[in-house]
Amino acid sequence: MNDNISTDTDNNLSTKITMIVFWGLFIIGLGFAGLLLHDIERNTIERREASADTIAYRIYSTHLESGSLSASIKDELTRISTSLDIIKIEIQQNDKIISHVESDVETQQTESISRSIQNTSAKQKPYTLVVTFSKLEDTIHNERKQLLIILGTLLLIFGVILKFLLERILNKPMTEMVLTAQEISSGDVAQKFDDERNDEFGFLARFINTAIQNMRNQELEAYQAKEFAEVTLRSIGDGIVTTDKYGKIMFMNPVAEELSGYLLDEVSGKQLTDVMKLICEGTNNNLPHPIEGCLARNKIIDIDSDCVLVHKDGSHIPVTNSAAPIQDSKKQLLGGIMVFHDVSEARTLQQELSYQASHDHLTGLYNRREFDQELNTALSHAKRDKHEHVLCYMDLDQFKVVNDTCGHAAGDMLLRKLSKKLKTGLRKSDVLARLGGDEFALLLLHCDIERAVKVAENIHQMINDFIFQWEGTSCQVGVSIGLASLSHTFKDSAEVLAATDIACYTAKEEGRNRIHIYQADDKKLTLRREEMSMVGKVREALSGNLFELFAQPIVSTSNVHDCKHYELLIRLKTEDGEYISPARFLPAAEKYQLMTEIDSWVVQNAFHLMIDSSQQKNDFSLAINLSGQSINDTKFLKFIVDKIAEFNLDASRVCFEITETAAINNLDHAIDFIKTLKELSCKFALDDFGTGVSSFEYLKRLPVDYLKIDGAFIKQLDSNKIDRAMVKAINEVAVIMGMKTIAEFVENEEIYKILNDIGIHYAQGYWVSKPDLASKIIKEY
Amino acid sequence: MSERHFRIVLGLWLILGLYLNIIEIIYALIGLLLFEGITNQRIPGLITKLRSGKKHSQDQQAGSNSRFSFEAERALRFLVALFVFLPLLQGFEIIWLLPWFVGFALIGAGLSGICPMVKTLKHIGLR
Repeated sequence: MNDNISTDTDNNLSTKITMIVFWGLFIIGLGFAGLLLHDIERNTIERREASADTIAYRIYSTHLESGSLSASIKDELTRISTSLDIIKIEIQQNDKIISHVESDVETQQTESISRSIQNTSAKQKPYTLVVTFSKLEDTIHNERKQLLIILGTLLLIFGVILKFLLERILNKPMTEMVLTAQEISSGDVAQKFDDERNDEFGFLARFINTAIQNMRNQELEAYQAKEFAEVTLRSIGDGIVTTDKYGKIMFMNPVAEELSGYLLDEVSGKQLTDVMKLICEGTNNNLPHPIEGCLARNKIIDIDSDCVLVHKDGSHIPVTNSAAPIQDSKKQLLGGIMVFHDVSEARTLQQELSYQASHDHLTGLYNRREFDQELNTALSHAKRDKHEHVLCYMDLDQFKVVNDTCGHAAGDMLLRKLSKKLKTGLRKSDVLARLGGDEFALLLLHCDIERAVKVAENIHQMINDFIFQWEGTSCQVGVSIGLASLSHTFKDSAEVLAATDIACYTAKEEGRNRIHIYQADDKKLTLRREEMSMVGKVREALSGNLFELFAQPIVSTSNVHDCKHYELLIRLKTEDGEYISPARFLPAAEKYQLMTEIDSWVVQNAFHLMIDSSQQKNDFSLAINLSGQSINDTKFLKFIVDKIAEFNLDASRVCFEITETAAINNLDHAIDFIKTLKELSCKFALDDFGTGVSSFEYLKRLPVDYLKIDGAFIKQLDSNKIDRAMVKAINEVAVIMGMKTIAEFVENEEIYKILNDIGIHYAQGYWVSKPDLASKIIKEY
Repeated sequence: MSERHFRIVLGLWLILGLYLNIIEIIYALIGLLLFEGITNQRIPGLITKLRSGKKHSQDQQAGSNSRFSFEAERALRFLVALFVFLPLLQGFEIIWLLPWFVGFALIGAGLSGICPMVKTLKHIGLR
């Protein structure tokens, strides 16, 4: 536009003024001249006729009064001819020229006008006046030239002056304004319109100057606001990219430049979706760009948490990403803003945490939790798709030996090496996990039991061939493997694991280092399952306080009514109100290391019983059976000591019964246990003596107070001399060692009398009293 | 010499010839205009070229956007020659005013710097 104003002379204001004023005036003037010239011929003829008439009248009126021409006629004619542009004037009478006047003008072609002048004297003939003019056309021509020259010159002068004035008044200030506008447009902010004039241009200049100043102020404010916004955006720690409403990049802050690898100048105006690719972390598939959705739907879009930004150099940067529309006050979409944040560290940490939560830290294999999920998934697939999968449960044999002989570091190393070896022969789809300790599980997907057996055999062979070297010591371990095919009969992973656990346990019971396949109708497995069921009941009883304390009196052999001792027995109460004997649940509890918990429960409740029953009877003592597991547990010893102190109990009324086998398995520990509690005045009895190892050597070392002779020697005491002799011998040894003896299984009076004869101190058995609820029997007996 | 100056001089000569009724001047001017129109060697350009060796602006306008390649200035020469010559013919005396008009128009165009005829010709499409 600016160029047009400055260079196009056809359209500028000066040209228009010139065209309108100058040429308009010129044409109008010449038109007017044409009109004037149009009547010039008629006017000239009329003027000439009038001149002839005028001369004739003057001659008649002034010079024929006396009836003849006066002498001054010639002077008069000369004066008239000069003033009226007449070439010649002749006065004739009777064709004779009587007076003649002729001008100096020479002309070849003339035209004459005649007039007859009546003589005042009637006798004389009239005069004839002949007035000669130059040729009419010449006269007209001359007059036209004069008029055109004068008019044309005046018009030209007037037009030039008018043009000059108009240009000075209108065009010059307008042109100056245009030039100023051009300079302002070209960026010269120092330029101002001339506002010192007092005319309309001055008013316009002031108005425009004020408007421009206001506009500049607003522009400055907007610029400052924009600068502030950009500085703010640059200072933000997140990557920020703004686009127009078509998704073309308008702004990137330095963080965005760093994360994307592109500079703003490099990508400004390009489609954001083309520049910044977003892919899924796991699959590397392109993700829908949030800015597209944001601009299309005019609302905030958050991207998937697994989003990765592809850097210019092709590297991947994990980011969290969101896009929001930029709207004006009327909610009209102006553009979009994408904000993203580098979450590499957080994502790595998350992955590490996820890995740690799902993997065993020692071996790097799946842990139990993750394996449970895999197993559940496989189980549901097996039920739905009828696919066959097999679970292989592996428990290392003799691993405890490695731990005990070489230390836990060696055990850990062994587990790591074995894990690596186990992984080598497996398919990618197989899932190997360490369930804990030396237990491993392998889930063989899409595998029938025959093939699973071969895999298990390979593993079995591989582990048997594996010799572990540790600081010059060679160790070898075996593995017991339980296999179970995932079938619809299993409800969940726990059941499958329990089944393979049972199978593995069975393999161990069969002699370790072998493979056993779980079958639903397997008797051994059924037994094992019952045991496990019993373990569950024991756990329920412990948590739900479902045990009951029974007691059986131990009476003096000299007086059956002299009862100051009771042996506490435990029963498990079912939901039906029936009691399960300890013979059914204690073996399972012992296998699953629950004996200490049971013993703790017994001790706690026995002490309560002693306190509660003290009002009725305060001179009785209670015998509490302890398992080998409890004796070997130092925490349990502390528990008893604390409880005695807590109940402020007379410890001499407490007698702990330990079996010969339990004591001998860890003799030193048992001796320490006994000595510690004896210092608190507790009593100890060696239970079931005679049927176990039955070494008097052990008896000599164990500082017990009572010796309970096993019932096997007592049952037939009335008929078996050998039993009687053995009981007598045991009793004699015990008495010499300062112990008192107790006979179990006293089932009739005769045995009771024999025991008295032998010198046994106490008797216990059905003949004396059957076991009953402790609180009841202590009160009654 | 620019076209403006040339127009003033040409107009003055034409008015002079008409005023003094010197037909030779009229014919000479007609001849000059025809020469310029036919050869496209215009006096202003020739004089400028002789003086400074520069090319006249007529060549600088060679690339302007127009429908015809024929130059408006050349056409103007032909038209002026025609308008001056035509009233000299028998039977065309009635348009005796036309040469006067052309003469004053040339002087006006020179003084104002704007020639309506050239503009009209350019508007029609001449270069």
